[in-house]
Amino acid sequence: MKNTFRGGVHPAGHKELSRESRLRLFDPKGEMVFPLSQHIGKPAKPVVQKNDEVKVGQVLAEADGLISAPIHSSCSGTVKGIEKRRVIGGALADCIVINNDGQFTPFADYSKRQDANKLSNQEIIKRVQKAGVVGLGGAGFPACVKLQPKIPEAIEYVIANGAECEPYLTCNDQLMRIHSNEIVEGLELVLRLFPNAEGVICIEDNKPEAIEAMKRAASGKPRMSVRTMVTKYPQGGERSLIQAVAGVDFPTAQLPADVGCIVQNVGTLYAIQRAVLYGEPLFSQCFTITGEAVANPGNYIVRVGTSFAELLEEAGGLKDGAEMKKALAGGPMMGVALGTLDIPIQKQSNGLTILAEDPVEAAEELMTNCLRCGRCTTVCPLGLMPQLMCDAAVAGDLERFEKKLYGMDCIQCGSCTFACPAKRPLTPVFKQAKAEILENRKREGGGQK
Amino acid sequence: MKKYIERLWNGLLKENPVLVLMLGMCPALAVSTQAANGIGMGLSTLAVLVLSNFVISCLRKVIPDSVRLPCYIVIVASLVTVTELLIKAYLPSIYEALGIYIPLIVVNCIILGRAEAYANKHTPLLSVMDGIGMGLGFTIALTLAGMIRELLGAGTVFGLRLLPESFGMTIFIQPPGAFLVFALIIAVMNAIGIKTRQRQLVESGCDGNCALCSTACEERKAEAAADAKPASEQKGGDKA
Amino acid sequence: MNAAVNTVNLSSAPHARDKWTTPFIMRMVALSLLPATVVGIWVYGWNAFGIVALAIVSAVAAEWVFNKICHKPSTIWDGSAVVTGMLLALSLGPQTPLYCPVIGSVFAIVVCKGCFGGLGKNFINPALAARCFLLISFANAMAIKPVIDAVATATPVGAMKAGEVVNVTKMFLGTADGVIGSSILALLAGGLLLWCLDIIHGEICFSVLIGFTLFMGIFGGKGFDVNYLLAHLCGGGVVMGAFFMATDYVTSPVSKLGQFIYGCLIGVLGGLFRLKGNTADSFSYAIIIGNVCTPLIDTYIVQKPFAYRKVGKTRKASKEPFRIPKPVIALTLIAAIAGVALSGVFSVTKDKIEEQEVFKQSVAYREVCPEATSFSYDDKAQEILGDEGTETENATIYACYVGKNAQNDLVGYALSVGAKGFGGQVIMALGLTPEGKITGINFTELKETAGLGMRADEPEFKDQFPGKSVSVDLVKGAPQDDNDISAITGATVTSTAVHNAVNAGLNFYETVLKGGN
Repeated sequence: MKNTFRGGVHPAGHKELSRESRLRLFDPKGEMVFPLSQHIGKPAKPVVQKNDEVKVGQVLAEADGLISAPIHSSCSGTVKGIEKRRVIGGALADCIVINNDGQFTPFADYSKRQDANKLSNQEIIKRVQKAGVVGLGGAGFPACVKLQPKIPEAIEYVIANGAECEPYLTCNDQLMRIHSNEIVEGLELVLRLFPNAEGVICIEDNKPEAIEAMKRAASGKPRMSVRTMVTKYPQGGERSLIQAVAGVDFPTAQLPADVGCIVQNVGTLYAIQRAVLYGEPLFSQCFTITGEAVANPGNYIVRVGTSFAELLEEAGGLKDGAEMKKALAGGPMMGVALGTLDIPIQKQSNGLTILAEDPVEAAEELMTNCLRCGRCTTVCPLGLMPQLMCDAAVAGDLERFEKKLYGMDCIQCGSCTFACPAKRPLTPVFKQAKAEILENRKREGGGQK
Repeated sequence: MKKYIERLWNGLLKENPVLVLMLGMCPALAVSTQAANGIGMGLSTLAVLVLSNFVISCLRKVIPDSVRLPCYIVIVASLVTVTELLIKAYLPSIYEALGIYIPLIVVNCIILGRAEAYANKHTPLLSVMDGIGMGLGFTIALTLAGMIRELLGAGTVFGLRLLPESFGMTIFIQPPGAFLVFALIIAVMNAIGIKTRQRQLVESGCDGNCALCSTACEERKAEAAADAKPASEQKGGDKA
Repeated sequence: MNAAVNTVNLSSAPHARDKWTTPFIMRMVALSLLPATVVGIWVYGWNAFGIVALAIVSAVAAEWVFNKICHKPSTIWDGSAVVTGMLLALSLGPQTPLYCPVIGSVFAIVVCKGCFGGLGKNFINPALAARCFLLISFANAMAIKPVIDAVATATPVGAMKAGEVVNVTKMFLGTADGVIGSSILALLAGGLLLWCLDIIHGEICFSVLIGFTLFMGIFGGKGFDVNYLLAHLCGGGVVMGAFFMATDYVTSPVSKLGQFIYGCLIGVLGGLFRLKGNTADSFSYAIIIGNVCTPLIDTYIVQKPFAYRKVGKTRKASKEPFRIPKPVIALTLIAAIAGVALSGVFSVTKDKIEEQEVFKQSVAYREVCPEATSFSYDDKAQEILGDEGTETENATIYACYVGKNAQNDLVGYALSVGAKGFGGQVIMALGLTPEGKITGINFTELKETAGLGMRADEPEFKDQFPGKSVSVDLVKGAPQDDNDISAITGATVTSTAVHNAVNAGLNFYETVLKGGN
């Protein structure tokens, strides 16, 4: 049971739809929309105004505080304004809207390479921060904060997350095949910050070409190795990775750094390499447009701010006769359903999946009472008991949910809901309960003042 | 006059001790194997209940509040023991039939329950009527269940054979069957919408715990009015 | 471009589902029960088929009707009613009258499942509860009548309890007498299939079997004799219970450790009831008790998430102030008054009560010594018997009364004698003439097997005793001698008990009473 974690499920991968499509750059034509909050932490503060001329890589908004990140333009053109636009998740948020002139003129020369050895650790972190690099695995945590734990010497593992366990998505696979050297360089830069750490590149075994490429790139590098992980969802979750690599479980109150691990997505490492060695800020990432309803599924390098609608058009639109039953920002396990495609992608977006059939609709027909079969408990990667959590949440017993059943530890990976034969909506119930608990905490915290 | 009749109806139907208040289940389940037993037990309990309600109501001003439960138990236990000795001496066949359940009348929650909930707050005559009502309700519940159990279990009712002997479903003579029969009776009562106190509570949304409640509802207003009069007459118009 | 967007569904993640569904699981369970059903029908004939078919149809119909009455959407599509019907049918005997599966299925679905909220809410295994309901309600109808072995007197388990040897191979294949689902081979095939598919939890089924085997091995009296253990494992619904009943999701604990404890509990209880219980149907009750213990097990054995397992538990010591209640004069006064009243009534009724006591006992003795108008003690006998009676090697003499008529002449003796039978002590009043001839026996305690040992109370058996004296011999078949008593076929133990008790009484007469007053 070495290279895997406890629990987990095996959803159908559907990766063959796009895994052989080589990454290609996509330059959009329409207006570009940049939400001010594309990361965990405070939204960025705008530094441009209406009618300002901007170029690719120019700062649009500054980081606000420690846990925040700046936002850079991914196109050249004129600022239309700062407006409320609909973002992923359905809310209306403040966004900087830019009229794209289609030229993509760069702000600075991002092709000149720096000598890594001339840079101090502080420099490295500063460049990562300036470039606005956030976790590109989907969470969007500011990378520079992650790279500054309390005790750098205590870090034992720097894990490069190349698992890509989410079904349908294949962009990390392609990135690893094509840019393996850059990823390894990014990992090297991070390892410099943590002198006692071992770098482990984890890749699921359904990506043999990527494993080969990364092995070749990492061969001969000190403190670096490639580990082939058993293909299982959610191997790419940081808790599952740490369990599989370091054999450690830690509660929600702690961070990976508290148990001596740093986890970074391979895409983030690539961005770190570009930021530190080329000074290029984060304005594009790898992306997969896929799904049975899409005419030409493929992998792209897309620019932040592009609308999903343009991306679908680029991928050939809908297949003949296919109906768009569900549009997901991300994959089917943790992706967010989109009500409209006129929504901009954000830094952490890594996929657009269009499904011709909605499994959730079919499941609602088959829903029965909880059988108490325990499959949810068997598959939970954290060892929680979703059966009991659902009972408590539905009964409104948030006290029991939080204190006795450790409900706040749930990472909402969706494994339990996937496995449930009674087709019960476990994860949505947990999301609701967690949101209510956080609301109550805020209210109580506010009341004390 | 009306309030005395109201007590009777209350015990019989609206707050039937076995079917609504769910008190006295132990003897109810054990004794209702035959309809005749039901009547015997019910009437014995009625006798004890009336006497105990009367005595406790008379003594309600005398018994200190902090030791009222031990006092009630002593009074009830003595009454039951007297009843038991008398039955054992002069009515041995009934004693045989009821056996251990006579001393169990002491812990029959109905006796203590009515003493606590009614007799110690109301006048002796009202308490006696309450006792009669509750006792009758108990008897009727037991007899009804006894008839059903006897019919399904042995094919007879009050000893008259109505169904062939081979029909008997023995489970109904045993405790599991008792639970099933009582559950069925209560379910039917709910289904046909008899206005029991439970239904009232369910419909009005309260949990019936008047002691801890601050809402001014019909029930409490009536009770407060009934309480306030003698108290105000005695203490010269004290506000509760 | 976005015209198609209006047809999009909006729901929360995850948007993928595994292929297992509730009907799928039920279908797999039904499939795994099929081999045992087929073998049962093949071995026991068309009546068995009728029972199986009726049970399934009644279960489905009951669920449909109940849902209609309660204005709830129909749930028969999930297949759980079919499984309940099959399980119930497999645990009935092949000669069970057809109204039993119908009533049982209705009880299982309506009372055990429906009244508690339907699928997933029952507190007890519906099929087993229905079986117990039928066992108690229709004891005679549910007794398993031998179909294959016409000479045999009871099912293999009944025979084992009486100490006889059984054919384990026949039980394993399913060709011996028993319930419809008797083929251990077929049941194992189905059960192991379910285990391999991960539909049932191995912790439960294997710990039931291991718990049962260990208990029988340690307490069965034959050590770990393989034949003995196998025979017990193959009979009485152990395998069926372990794989299909105890493993029911709803009524078993959620945590692994809890499941293991639950399985062991059922195994041990099953063994205990098998060894000490009255009937052959021990396992049903063991599983039901396990079911009822599940919520308790779930409360105390909570599985913690991985991250919290090594952290130690903290215990809060809460100190409650110790209050001494104040004594109250009123309480003492009331107690004193009550005491006085009680002693008064007691002294008035004391004698009358004692009279009644003696009279009650004397009713039994009156029947065996009809001419006596009063009974009293014999001093010599009392000396020997003492207060508790005396025990001989295989019987007990509890009491001895001398019967006298109105003229105070000796008209006979009435002894209370007893011996250990199949289901407990068999105690009777033995009437003797002054010359020591039996006038009759009247059972005061007889808790034997219905249809077998209980037949001792019938005239056919009891009427053999009057007239015999000195001692009686027990024979199988017709009596050859004057002093022979015919045993009841199939109730050897009970007959032996009666025989021993009577002999003890007769012996007591010969040694103590003869030549007395």
